[in-house]
Amino acid sequence: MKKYIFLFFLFVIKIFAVDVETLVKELDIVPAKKASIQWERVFTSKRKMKRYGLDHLTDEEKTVLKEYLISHAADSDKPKFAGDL
Amino acid sequence: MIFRFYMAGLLLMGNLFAEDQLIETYLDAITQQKQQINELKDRVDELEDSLESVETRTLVDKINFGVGFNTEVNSYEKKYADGHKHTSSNLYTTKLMLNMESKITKNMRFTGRLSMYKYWADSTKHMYSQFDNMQGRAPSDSTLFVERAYVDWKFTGDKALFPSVLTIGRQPSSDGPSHQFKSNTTRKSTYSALVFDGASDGIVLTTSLEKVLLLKNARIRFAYGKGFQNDETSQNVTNAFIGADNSLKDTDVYGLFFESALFNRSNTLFQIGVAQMKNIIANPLDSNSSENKNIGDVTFAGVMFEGTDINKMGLDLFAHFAYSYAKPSHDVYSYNGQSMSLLGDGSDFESKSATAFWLGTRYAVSEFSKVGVEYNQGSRYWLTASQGSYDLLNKLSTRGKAVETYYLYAINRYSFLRFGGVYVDYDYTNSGWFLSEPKKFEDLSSTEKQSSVESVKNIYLQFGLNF
Repeated sequence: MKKYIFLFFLFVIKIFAVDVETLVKELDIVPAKKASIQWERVFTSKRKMKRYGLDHLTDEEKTVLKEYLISHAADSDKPKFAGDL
Repeated sequence: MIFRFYMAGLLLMGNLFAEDQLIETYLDAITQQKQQINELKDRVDELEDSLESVETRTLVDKINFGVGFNTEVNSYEKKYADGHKHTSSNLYTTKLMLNMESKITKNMRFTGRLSMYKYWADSTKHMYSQFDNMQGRAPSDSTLFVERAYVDWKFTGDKALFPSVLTIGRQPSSDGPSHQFKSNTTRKSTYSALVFDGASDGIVLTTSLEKVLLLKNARIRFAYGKGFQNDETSQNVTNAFIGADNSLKDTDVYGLFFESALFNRSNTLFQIGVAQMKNIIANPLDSNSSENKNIGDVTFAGVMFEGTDINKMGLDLFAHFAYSYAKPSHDVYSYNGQSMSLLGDGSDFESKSATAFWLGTRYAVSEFSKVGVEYNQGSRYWLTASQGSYDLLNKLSTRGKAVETYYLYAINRYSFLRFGGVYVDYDYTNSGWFLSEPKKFEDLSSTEKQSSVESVKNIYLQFGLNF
């Protein structure tokens, strides 16, 4: 039973890849440099979106990226554990 | 001829006049631009002054505060081994967590948490809240306890092959993986909650193995802590194991852990570890030094897997497996006329091993709603260091089975309501405790059955805030 649960877990993780982190690296954006409300403002301004290279992204990419930036913003709920520096 | 010269002169004067006009226009424009530049300079100076005052305020504010807050109402029904039931239908509690953080330098950070946890309209300092690992974790009065106070110090350079961090002080060891799903937050502790949950004091060395193993978030940890301390130099305190001149030893805790992401996905966690508590004290609240004893050693081992919002499907999964091995000393602890040893009755000193597992999932039904279910099971001699759990039932210590289901509604990004139910079915007595032998309920005397809880049902509603 435990073996099947473990195999199912590995299968679910493995089959699909969501790589918004690669997109963030390509755009050279650091999420923790702004607070969440500041990132929301970026996505409502054409000038700011052009400045960060976001204007050429698809709507889906923009949605995923916006969610990622807000969830990793300077004031986001961050994980806490020993050695996290 | 003269006329031609005259006309040429007129043209030249006209051109000169036109050029003069043009030059004057240009000069006017330049003057205006200079004026605008000076105005812009003044505005930039003003902005710079404003920014500097904001920067000064930020630099002077050395501590950033955050708040965690839970208020909960529970309805418990306990069924005892003799068949009688007891109900507590509206038990209210409030827990406050004041979180603190200071970025001291690029390589040093202080993190703290002050906690208060109490029953409504009750300021009794309950016995268990005095255990060091349960301060701020078990209901007490409105005292603020220091649940966490630690410094992370990265003492290696950024380009080191093995970047390493020392974490010194009262550790982030409570509310660990995978409790964050129920609390609608992120990971809040170092260790699997199935093996350890509570406050603790220690030193942890975390070394990154990312560059060597090419595995995201790969780390190895060496941990040392104290479970209880016997200060032999102090003679002026009343607790027996501090200032005592007897042979009581400190309880030392050693741990070795490895963790990483799974398949390099940062929304996953794999952790495997082993820890040992040596020279466990029988009763840290017993002031009778001649009776208190070191009752033995316990070794814990655990492995866990966790995935958050897997493939953006709104699905979270986790699985924890753990093993405990208790090696009693031959010392017997007596309390109220009863003899006890590590998982024994004072006459049995055989080593005992046990296993437990904890599985769970949470699914986002919509942007605001999530449903979750968890199941855990522990064998007869299952021991865990989760006594400092915020959960009043400490369900992960169950020597039996426990199941919990819940519905979580996110009011906004920071707060939620959670409605749920827990059912715990004990197979043996004394779940969560190191002393005394775990017995089957049918083997108990009629007197023992009257005070032994066989199962618990709980329905609760919680308001939670993480800001």
